[in-house]
Amino acid sequence: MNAPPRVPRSTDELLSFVRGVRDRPERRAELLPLLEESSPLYAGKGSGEAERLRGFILASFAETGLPDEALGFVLEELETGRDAYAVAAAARAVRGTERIPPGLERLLLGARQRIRGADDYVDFDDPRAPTGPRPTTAVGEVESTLSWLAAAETPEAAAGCCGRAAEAAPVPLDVATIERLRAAPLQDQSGSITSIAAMFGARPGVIAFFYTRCMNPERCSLTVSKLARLQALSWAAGAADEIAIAGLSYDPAFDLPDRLRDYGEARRLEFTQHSRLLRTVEPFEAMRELLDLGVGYGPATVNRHRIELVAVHGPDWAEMRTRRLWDEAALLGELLDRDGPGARA
Amino acid sequence: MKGSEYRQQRQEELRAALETSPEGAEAANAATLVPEGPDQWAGQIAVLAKPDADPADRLTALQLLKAASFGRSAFDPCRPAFTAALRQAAKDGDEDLRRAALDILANRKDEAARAMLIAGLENEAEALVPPAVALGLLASDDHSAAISFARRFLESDAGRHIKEQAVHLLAADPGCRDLLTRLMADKEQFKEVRRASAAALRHIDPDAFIAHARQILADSSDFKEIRATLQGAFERAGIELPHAHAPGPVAAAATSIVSRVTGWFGGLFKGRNR
Repeated sequence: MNAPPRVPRSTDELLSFVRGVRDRPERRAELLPLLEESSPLYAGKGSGEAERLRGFILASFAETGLPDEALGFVLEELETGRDAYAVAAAARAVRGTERIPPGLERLLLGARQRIRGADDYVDFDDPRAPTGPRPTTAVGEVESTLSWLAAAETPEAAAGCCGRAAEAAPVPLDVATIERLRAAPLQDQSGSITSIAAMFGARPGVIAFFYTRCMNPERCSLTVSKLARLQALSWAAGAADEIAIAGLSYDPAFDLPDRLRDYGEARRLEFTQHSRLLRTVEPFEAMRELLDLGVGYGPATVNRHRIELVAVHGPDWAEMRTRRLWDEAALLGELLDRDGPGARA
Repeated sequence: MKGSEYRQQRQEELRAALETSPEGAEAANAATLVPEGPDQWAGQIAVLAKPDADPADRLTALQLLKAASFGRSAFDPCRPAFTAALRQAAKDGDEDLRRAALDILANRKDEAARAMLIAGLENEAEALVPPAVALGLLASDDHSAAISFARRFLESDAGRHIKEQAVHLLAADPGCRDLLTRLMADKEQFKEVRRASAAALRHIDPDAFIAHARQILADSSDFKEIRATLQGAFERAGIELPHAHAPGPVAAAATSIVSRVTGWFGGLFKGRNR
């Protein structure tokens, strides 16, 4: 059995490795593990550096071809990314696809709007930030893809194809994992010690992950705002006590109760017995490993994370590693669906 | 056109407008001295990026462009060139220009600037600004990876300003709670370092700050200046002082003056009552 490839640890190692893959496109699958937020490649690095390394890797797919397994990373960056280099790299990468994902134009237009205030020269031959002008800029790269899309003869994928369906497919949690998750001691925004078991009981609900120092308003801030909207929708549907809503911080050492409270209140989340923002009382590493969370850490805090939820339907707990923005109305419908999976127990 | 010439021209226009019509001058003044339009901006960017241009002209260009670029979508097409010019100025300008360029870049969390500042901390020969300035600039990004440098300087015989800035970096890392607690309580430390440590600890763990501050307040052998700063911080936050340290009227007034002068913790508190 072949040993797994060694993870590059330095920028020079990564340069050499990625150039090797670009020269031999049949090796492109070797890049996929390096895109995971929890990859050792990013451990201990600041978020800016981590973004550039990921962008450098993503851009490679323009040369090697973009496999379906990588499309989720690319679309995630185009939908919510704010780092100009990483977004440009994603725009470049999508030109390597053989099937155009639905909604690509909308994602590109949104990406262009998000990065235009931080536009910069980009160089995909080296992840280190250029100190001088380059032939193209991040916005220019997005616009190149828009032009490519307008002229593309590549067939558009069927709705639900290519990454979206794969990302939306939940990963069921096993019984042991569910029990450990339910039992883990957590502290809420008021300082009270509780647990998922105590909060949820037998209710359906959702556990979303966030942290208050997240610099991307399209990620954690929006996640908690969506939890608040999910809550408001449930109340409007007359189901105020029927679902549980939990936000769990990736950064429990910093996200103390007062910060959790202020963060939730600012995003209009009403705190109740069944709707809370939480932090682990024990070191977060155990939770991260338990759920294989998509989060990486620099020396002080998170450097990169994906959008992810645990959706609870009765005895069925499934982790949605979505990477994409989720719809609160659709999620509420799933949680309240009495004829759905939750009713089969 | 040089930035200084542009400013002079605009000032003359405003002076003329004021003489003929105060109302017109008011409107003209509202337009400020910021250059308008891509052509003007490109001209100033060219000055900023030019290594052999007069440093004063480059600095003026930087200041004009900084104002022009703030929150204006019309400036967006010029941003890549402006950023490249700032990175150039950060390397080859005089010290004032380097500081100004790095300040803008650091506040934008620019990776090239971060790499330059860290290279300077690793190797004095590559330093673009003094270590204290570099640490202060790196501290503006709590997602950066510069904390290892902070620890290194705190363990060295570096001067008070370097150590003070190093402490600012630690305020991003809850893992530094114990270190900050020790620094705050260490009577052998520079008072600037103790104050910065207290502020950083307050940021990371307000409860730990209060508990340790109370211990310092209860220690009559500790420096009056430190205790007065903590008293002022408690008062502004509405935190009850330890009984023995609740001041009488004269002492309270003196403490209030000291706390206004030092003003360390004003922005960190939200009026908690304990």
